[in-house]
Parts: sequence; C-alpha cells; structure tokens
Amino acid sequence: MNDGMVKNNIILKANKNENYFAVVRRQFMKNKLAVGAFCVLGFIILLCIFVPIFSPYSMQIYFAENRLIPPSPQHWLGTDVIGRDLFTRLFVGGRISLGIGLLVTFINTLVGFTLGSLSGFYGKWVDAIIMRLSEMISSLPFMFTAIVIVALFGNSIPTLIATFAALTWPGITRIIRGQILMLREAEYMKACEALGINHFKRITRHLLPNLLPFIIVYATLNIASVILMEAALSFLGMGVSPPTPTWGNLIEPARQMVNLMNRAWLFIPPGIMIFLTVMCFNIVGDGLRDAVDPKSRGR
Amino acid sequence: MANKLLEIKNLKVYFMQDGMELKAVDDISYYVNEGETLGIVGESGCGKSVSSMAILRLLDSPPAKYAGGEILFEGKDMLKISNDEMRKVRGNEISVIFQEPMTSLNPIKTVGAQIAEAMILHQGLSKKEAKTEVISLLKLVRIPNAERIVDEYPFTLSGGMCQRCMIALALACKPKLLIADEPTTALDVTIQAQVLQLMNELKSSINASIIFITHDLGVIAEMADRVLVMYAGKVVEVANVVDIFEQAKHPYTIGLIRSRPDLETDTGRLEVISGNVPDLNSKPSGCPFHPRCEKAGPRCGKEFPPEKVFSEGQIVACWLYSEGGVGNE
Repeated sequence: MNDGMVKNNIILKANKNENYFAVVRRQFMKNKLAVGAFCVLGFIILLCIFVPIFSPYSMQIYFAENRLIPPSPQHWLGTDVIGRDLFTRLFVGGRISLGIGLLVTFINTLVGFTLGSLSGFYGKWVDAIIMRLSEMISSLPFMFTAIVIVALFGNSIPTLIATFAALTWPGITRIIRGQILMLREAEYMKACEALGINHFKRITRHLLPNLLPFIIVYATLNIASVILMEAALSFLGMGVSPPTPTWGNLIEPARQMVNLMNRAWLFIPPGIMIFLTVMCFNIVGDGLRDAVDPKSRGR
Repeated sequence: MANKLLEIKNLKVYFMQDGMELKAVDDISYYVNEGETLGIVGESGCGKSVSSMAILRLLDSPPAKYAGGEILFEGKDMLKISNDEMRKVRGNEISVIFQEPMTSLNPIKTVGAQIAEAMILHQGLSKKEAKTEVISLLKLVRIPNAERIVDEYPFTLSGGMCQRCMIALALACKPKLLIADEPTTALDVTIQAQVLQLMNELKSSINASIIFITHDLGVIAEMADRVLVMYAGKVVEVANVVDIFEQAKHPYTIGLIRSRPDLETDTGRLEVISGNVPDLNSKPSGCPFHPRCEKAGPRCGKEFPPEKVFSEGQIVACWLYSEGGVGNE
C-alpha cells in the first residue's frame, strides 16, 4: 500500500478542516517577496487613509508666501508652486489613484464575470456577439480612445472610471469565458452529473469556486495597470484635473524644464509612490497566482 | 435463473456531425443480471463507453442522439423518464467510476466533502452523519488514515488513492449497478491489481452488478462473469468468461485473444489483427469487421449476420455459424 503515502508531504499537507483558501494563504505566506510587497501595500494604503486625516495642512489651502519650499521640518516633502503641502497632497492623491484602480477593477470584473459566464455557458450567438464586441474594444488604441472620450465628456472622476472600465472589460471577460469553456468540459463536471447533482449546484458549487482564483489574480494585476493608465492620462493633463490631486497629476510639474532641473521634490515622491504601488500589486498578483495554482507549487 | 437488473434492447446512439449521422452504437442488445459483472471489451472507438454512458443519459445531446431502443433498469425505460427522475437514479441506483481518477475529482473540494455531497443529496444525511459514513467508506476501500485523508484535497493524493476515493464515491449510496469505465487504465500495474481485487471484494459484499469496460483482456479474465465483445458499434459476441478464452467463436474475438502476450510460450512476435477500427463515418457495409477478417466471404459485405445462439448463452453474430455460411467466392 505504498500509494497510501500522501504525495508532497512537505510542501502540501492540508491540515484538519483547512479550507481551500487557508491552503492558498499558507502557500502565499511562503513567498517572502510577495508577503513583503503585501506589507508595503498595506502600509501605503494606511498612509493614504490616515495622513490626510491627521495632517495639519489641507490639500486645498495655500499660502503664496510658502510657495516652492524644499523639504523641511514644517513641510516634509516641501510645497508646490502655489504653496500647498505636498506630503498631504501625496496621500490625498493616493486615495484618488488607488480608489480609481479599485473601483474600475471592481466594475470591469463584475462586467467581465457576467458577460464571460453568459458567453461561456450560452455559446452560439450570445458568445459571438460578446466576443466580437470585446475584440472591437480591445482593438482600439487605449490612450487615444481615452483622450477622445475625456475630451467629449469632460474629465471628472466618474467619467474617468467609466472610461477605464469600458475599455478594460474585454480582458477579464475572455479569461472567464475561456476558463468556463475549459472547466465545464472537465471530467469532474461529468462526474458531478453522474452523481445526480443538479445543474444549478454543479455551476455554483463546483464550477464557480474553481474560477475564483483566476478572478482574484486578475483583479490584483488589473488594479496596477489601471493606476498606471490613470497616472499616464493625468500626467498628460487629460485625467483628473487639479486642484484634486492624484499621483498622475502630481508628477505633471516634471513636464516643465525648470521643475525637472531644479525642483526634484515636486515629482519624485509621487513617482516613487506609483512605482512602488504598481510593483507591489504585480508581485502580490504573481504570488497569488503561484499560490492558487497547484501546478506551480513546490517549485 | 437470476433476475435481469438492466436490459438494453436495440439501443441506437448516433452522433450528429456536419449533418451526418455517425452510428457510434448501432442496434445493440444486452442484459446484466443481479450481482453479475459484465465485461465489455473492444478496441478504442467501438462504442463501449458510449453505450454505457447512454444508460445514465450522460452524453451531451446534441451532438449525441438516442435514436432508438430501450434501456430498461428495473423495468423503467431510462430513455423515457424525466430529468428529475434521472437525477435520482444517477449516483444513487447507478453510479459511474471514471477513467481518470485525478481529474474526476474537483480539485478545490476535499475528497470527504465530495463523497458526502452525494450522501447528503440522495440519502438526506446531515453533514455530521455523512462525515462518519464517509470515513467508514474510506476505510472500506482501504484508505489508510481515513480520518485524515477525508480532509485532504484530491491533488495531494496519488492516482491509486484517488481511484479508491472515486470507488468510495461511487459506492456512497449503495448503488445497484456500478459502471466502471476503464477504471484502471490510468493506474500502474500493481495498483491496478489492488484496485481490481478491492472491487471484486466490494462487489460480493454489497451485491451490486458491475458493467466493466476495458480493452484489457487480462482485466476481463480477472473481473467478469460474462463478456460482451463490441466492434464498431455492434455486439459481435457474448459469452461466459471461460468460453471467451477457451472457445471463442467470432473471428474478431479469436483475433483479440491471439494478440495477447503469453508468458508461458515464447512465440516471438505478437499476432495482430491487420488494419484499423473503421472510422465511424466510413463504416463498411454488412458486418463491419469483414475488411479485416481472414474468413470473410462475399456475403459478409452485404448484410449484418443474425445472432446465432450456442449453448450456455454464447451468442455470436457471424455468417460463419449461420445458415448459408459466408457465401462462395
């Protein structure tokens, strides 16, 4: 009875009553880099929440006499051209940037999930329509289309969120459709049917839980790319418009030579924040992908 | 004479492809007695699996089409009952053991939860009751540390362990008929022997009938009481397991038995049946085996031979044994 031995004893020994997500969490915890990135992200998010609350400065109020002070004990990251405290603005901007990333990802995951499931389960003409639509959208050049939409409808935050969501749903829709097409042909779906489990339970209890890891991984990576898109658009002055700060429009001063040459404190901190956040989301996403995929474990 | 648990009469299952009807199962009839193991053998693509999946209506339709015939399980025609009734039969009265144990279990649910699900569904047990039942069932299929394995995920188990879990799953509701679709092909030979032995023991303890599908004649000799030989969607011979090995009548069965390696005699190269199984869309007329048959005559290509009943329930469909023979050249 040698086959009685549990394989991969060291790498994967499910503890008593441990559910799937506990196993995933344990796998994830083994990836030190991803855990580190996760902590950094947590720290950034906490700063974004609390700094604006406790800061003695407001992101709006400005004093002309305080303009362009380099980092100092009063203004940790200095002040901008009209005398606003940049430390406060950095984290208010973080709220907006992260908020847009999260909200857009939430919307397009929801849309993608609905359309992808319809497409995968229904097939035929429903599938054809949804897939052709998603191909049309993904063949549009992103920046150009976003700029046109913003130019037409104004650059308010809701417009931006709607624009990003409208342009990014095809990715997740295709992932979900592909997974459903694959999973519904899986042997165990047939085995479920052979056990007399009804259609609804087969989908909700056996198929969708298998989909969840892909959605979580996708969403994590997607937040990062939305933050980058927003930053790019705001940097060009087509995104969120001042005085509301975002990490994108905080680096905007770098477009002027005089700032780029002499006033590094204006754009380096938001640049670092964008870089750190996007990188951390990507590392966490990769870590999650390895943790949810049994095949990549143990490498 | 034992009671017939399952009787299939003139079953026809076709697949629709590009507007053509592919006759995967073409007018076959057989029966399974209570407590009996019926082995179904044949080469790949001869309709073994299709004919047994049809019993539970597990074929996706379309493209599959149940074109005719009856499948009587305890007198009920499985092709006519409603979907709700069908669901009550599946897993409860008839259950299936699939070929690939590793992929037939849902990777994100513990084996215990999956076995319990069937019990909760069909027998109305509570979760707690089901869990104790599952553990005793796992012990029954000789899984060591059943109390621990019940909370393991399928991907942490080896193939042999998974197949034991599949067997436990199939036995969960004490079915009357077990359809084992090549349950040991994905396992290595030692594990295969263990699983077969286990199935034989379980069969006598729960008194279920088994339909055992395989292309391995060695497995058939081990498991079956009676053997059904299929070729290209047709039943060509049915006989007791002893008769199949000692006095096979149909040239195809004879060919199959000859092409087995034999440990006792050193015959050098194995004998083979020349040619391949015909494609379903270009099936030969008459007896589908005639292009590969050494003894074929002109009559074989014209019409399918009638069944000739020999003693002890040996039935052969071949012109060699029917009146008029294969015809003259």
